[in-house]
Amino acid sequence: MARFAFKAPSRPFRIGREGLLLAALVVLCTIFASQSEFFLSERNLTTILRNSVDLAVVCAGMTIVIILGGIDVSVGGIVAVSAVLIGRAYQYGMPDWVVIPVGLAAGALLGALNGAIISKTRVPPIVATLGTMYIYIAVLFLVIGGVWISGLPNTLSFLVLGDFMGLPAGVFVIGFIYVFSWLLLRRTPWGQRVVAIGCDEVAARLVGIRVDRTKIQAYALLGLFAGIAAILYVARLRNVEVNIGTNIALEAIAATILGGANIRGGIGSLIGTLMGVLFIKITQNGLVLIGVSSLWETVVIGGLLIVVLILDALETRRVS
Amino acid sequence: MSFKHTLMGGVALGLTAALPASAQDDTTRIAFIPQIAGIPYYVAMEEGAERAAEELGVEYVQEGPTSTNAADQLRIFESFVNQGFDVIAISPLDEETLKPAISRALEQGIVVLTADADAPGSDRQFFVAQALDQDLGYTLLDEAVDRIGESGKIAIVSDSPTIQSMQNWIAAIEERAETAYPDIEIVSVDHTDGTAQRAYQFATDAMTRNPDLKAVLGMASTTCPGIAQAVEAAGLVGEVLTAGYCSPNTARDYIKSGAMPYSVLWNPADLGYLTVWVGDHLADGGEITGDFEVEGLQQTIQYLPENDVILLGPPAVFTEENVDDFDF
Amino acid sequence: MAETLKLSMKGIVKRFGGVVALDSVDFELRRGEVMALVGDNGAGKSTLIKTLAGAHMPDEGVMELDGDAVRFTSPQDAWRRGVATIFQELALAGKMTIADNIFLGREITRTVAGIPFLDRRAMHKRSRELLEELDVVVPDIHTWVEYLSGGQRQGVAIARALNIDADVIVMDEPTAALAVAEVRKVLEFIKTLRRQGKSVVLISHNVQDVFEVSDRITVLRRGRRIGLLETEKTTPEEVVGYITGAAETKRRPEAAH
Repeated sequence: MARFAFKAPSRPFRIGREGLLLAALVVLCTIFASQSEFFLSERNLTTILRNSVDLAVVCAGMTIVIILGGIDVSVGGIVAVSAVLIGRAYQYGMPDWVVIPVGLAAGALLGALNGAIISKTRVPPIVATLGTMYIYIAVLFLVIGGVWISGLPNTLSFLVLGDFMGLPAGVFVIGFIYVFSWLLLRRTPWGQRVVAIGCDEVAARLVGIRVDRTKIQAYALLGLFAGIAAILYVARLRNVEVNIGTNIALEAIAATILGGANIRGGIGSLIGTLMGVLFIKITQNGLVLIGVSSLWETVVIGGLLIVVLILDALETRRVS
Repeated sequence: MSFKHTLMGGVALGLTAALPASAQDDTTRIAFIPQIAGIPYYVAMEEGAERAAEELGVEYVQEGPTSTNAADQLRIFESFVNQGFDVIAISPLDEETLKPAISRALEQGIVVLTADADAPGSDRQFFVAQALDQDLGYTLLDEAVDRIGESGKIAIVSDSPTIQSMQNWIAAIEERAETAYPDIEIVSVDHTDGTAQRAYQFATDAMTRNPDLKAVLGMASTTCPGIAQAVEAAGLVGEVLTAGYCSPNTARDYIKSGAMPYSVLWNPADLGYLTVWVGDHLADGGEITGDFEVEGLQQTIQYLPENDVILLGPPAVFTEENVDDFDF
Repeated sequence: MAETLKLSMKGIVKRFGGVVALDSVDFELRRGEVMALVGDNGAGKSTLIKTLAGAHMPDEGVMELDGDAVRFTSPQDAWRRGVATIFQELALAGKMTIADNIFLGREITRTVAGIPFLDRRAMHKRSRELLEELDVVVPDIHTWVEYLSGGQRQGVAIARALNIDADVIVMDEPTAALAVAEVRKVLEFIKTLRRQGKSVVLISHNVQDVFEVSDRITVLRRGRRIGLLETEKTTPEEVVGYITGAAETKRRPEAAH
C-alpha cells in the first residue's frame, strides 16, 4: 500500500509570542534601569510584585475564559461586589474564616451567573457581561450606600505584603494560582473541554462535551479568582472605595491578549499572560520612576497591544 | 476616560431618568450636582443642604454621576433644566463641557451656581466656595512644612487631571512652595483612576524614586487611604508624612496611626447649607453685594466681588484632637 | 437472509413543516460492507444521515441495530452505540493536537489525589496505534489538527471513531474538496475499515469514488429510495441515470412531460 507523505508544519511557533513579550520586557527593563538607579532595587522589584498580585490572579481566570472563546468585562464589578461584601462582613465583626468564604462565594456566584446568562441565552459574552457589569456596579452602590468602608482589619495583609522563605508572599499566591490553573487547563479533561469549545463550539457539542456546563464552570472560576483578588485588595488597602475595580477588566484583557491569548478562542498561554501582567505593572512603575507622566502608560501598553494584534492577524492570514 | 467610568455613567443616567418629576409651582426647587454620587463628602453636603431646605421651605434634590465623568454630569444638568428647576448648583468636573449648557439654562431664567468647585470661565452667577483654592493649597503645604521643616521633597498624588479644583489646589501648592519655601521641591504629580490601588502604587513608586522623600500629598478623598497605606506598608510612618484633602472618616484611622497626621478640608454640611441658602435667596429675587450672615452658620460669609465668589470661610484642619468631632 | 443486518431502517418518514424530506425510506447495511449513499442535492441524503446519526428523530419508521430496535436521541447516543458519523465539518478542534482530538470528550485519565489527570502517554500510544492501523501518516502526534491536510484530518476523524470501537462509520462527503492524492488516501482508509470488518456508509457526489470502494449503492431521489444496486453488477451510467431520474423516465415514459 502506498504511503503518502503529507506535508504540514508542526505546531505553530508559540515561542514567538512569549519570546516577543520577553524581549519587550527586557527592553522595557533596560530603559527603566538605565534611567533610574532604583528600578532594579530589591525594594522596587518587590513593590512591582506586590502590585501585580490581584491583577495576576484575575488574569489566570481571564486567560481560561478567553481560551474558551469568551470574555468577561464585568470582572471589575465582581471584584467590587465581593470587596464590598468582605468589607461589610468585617464591619459586622466577622473573623477571617467567615470573611474569606464570603468573598470567594460572592465571586464564584457572580461568575457563574455570567456563565449561565451567556450559555443559556446565547447572548455574545461581551454584551452579556456588559449588562451584568451595570448590575454589579449598581449592587456596589446599593450596598455601599454612599459611605466608604475604611479602616478594615489588616489580618490578611501578610498574603500580599508579607515575606515567606525570603520571598514576597505574593509570589507564592501567584505561583499557587498559576500552577493550579495550568494543571486544570493542560492536564485535566476539563481543560481539554475548554480548549475544544474555544476552537469550535459545534464540534465540541458533537463529541458530547457539555458545553453549557463547562462555560458556567469557567466563568465561575474567573469569578472565584476575582473574589480572591478582592480579598487581597481589601487585605492590602483596608478600604473599599466607590471606584474599586475600575480598569481591572481592561487591564486583565490587555494582559491576557498581550500574553498570546486569541480573542477568538482556542489559544492562550498562562505564562504569556503572567508576562503581560508584569509588562503592564512594570510600565506603570517604571514611568513614575523615570519621571515620565503616568499618562504615557496607556500609550506604551496600547502600542504593544496593537503590535501584538497585528502579529496575530498576520499569523491568521498565513495559516489560512 | 476609563471603560468602567463610562459604564458607571450609564448607571447614573438610569438613576436620573428615574427621578420623580414632582413639580409644585409655588415651591422653589433647588438641584445640586456633585462630581460623583455616593461618596461620604457629598452625602454630608446633602445633609446640610436638606437641613437648609427644611428650614427655608424649599425642595432640594441632589444627583451626581456614579463616576467622575463630565459627559454624564452634563446630561444630569440638562435633565434638571428640562425638569424646570428654579436653581441648579453644580460642582463641575469639566468647565468646557458645561459652559454652553450653563448659558442656555440662564437664558431660561434658571439661577445657576457653582458650588464646591468652580467654572470661572462660564456664565454662572456665583461660586459658593468652601474655601479659596489658594487658601487650601497654602494651608496643606504650611501644615506639612510645620511637620517636616522648610526643605525636602514632596510628591503629589491626585485624581483625574480633568478635575479643575484639584488642578487649582496643586497650582496653589506649587506657587506657595516657590514663593515661601524655596527649598521645598515638588518632585512629581501623578493622576489616578480613582482607585486606592493606583494611589498606593504612585505613592510607593514616588518613595522608591526618592529615598529622601519627606511627604506625599493626596488631592482627593479617593487618594488618601492609598497613600497612607503605602507609607504604612513601607514601614515609613514617621519618616514620610502623608496628608491631603480628605474627609475625617476617610482619614481617621490614618490620623490615629500617625501615617497621615492631618487632613485639610472644610465642613461640607455647612457648604451644602450655604448653597441652598444662596440659591433660595437669589430665586426670591435677592441680591448679594457684600459680606453677610446666615442663620444656622456661625461664621460671617464673605463676598469677593471680583470673581463673584461667596466664601464659606477658611479651611478646616482635622487632626487627632478634633477628628472625632466630625462624621463625614 | 440468514445473516442479520448490521443496521436497517424501514419506512423512515421525516417531515419539515409541509415538506416531506424522507418518504418512507428503507435503508440497510451489512457487516463489513461499504454502502454508498448517492443522490442529487435535496434527495434526502443528509436528512437520512442525520436521522441515522441521531441528530434528527424520524416521524415514522423503525431502526434496528444488530437486530434490536433502537432510537437515537442525540449524536452522542448514536456514538455510544457504535454508530459514528463523521460530518463534513469533522468536529475537530483545530488548535488541539491529533491525540487530543482523537480522545476529545473521552480522555484517558489517571487519578492522582482524587483528581483525574490526563494520561497523555496512554493517549499518545493508543493514537499512534490507531493511526498506524489506518495507515495515516502524520508528521508528529503533537501537531495541531489545523495544520493537517484534508486527508489527514479525515484520518484523525476516523481514528476517533475507531477509538470508541464504532462498527458503523458514516462518512459524509469525505472526499469533497480534496486534492487527488488525498482522495486516494481517504478511499484507502475506507478499504482498511472494511478489512477490519467495519460497516461503512459513504455519502458522495463522486460516482468514480463510489465505484472504487463500495459494495452496494443506495440511490435516493426526492425523498425516496429508488435504487439498491450491487456495485459489481451496475455501471456508473446506470447510477447517474438513477440519480438524475433518467432511469425513472425510461421506465415510465408518460411522466416525461
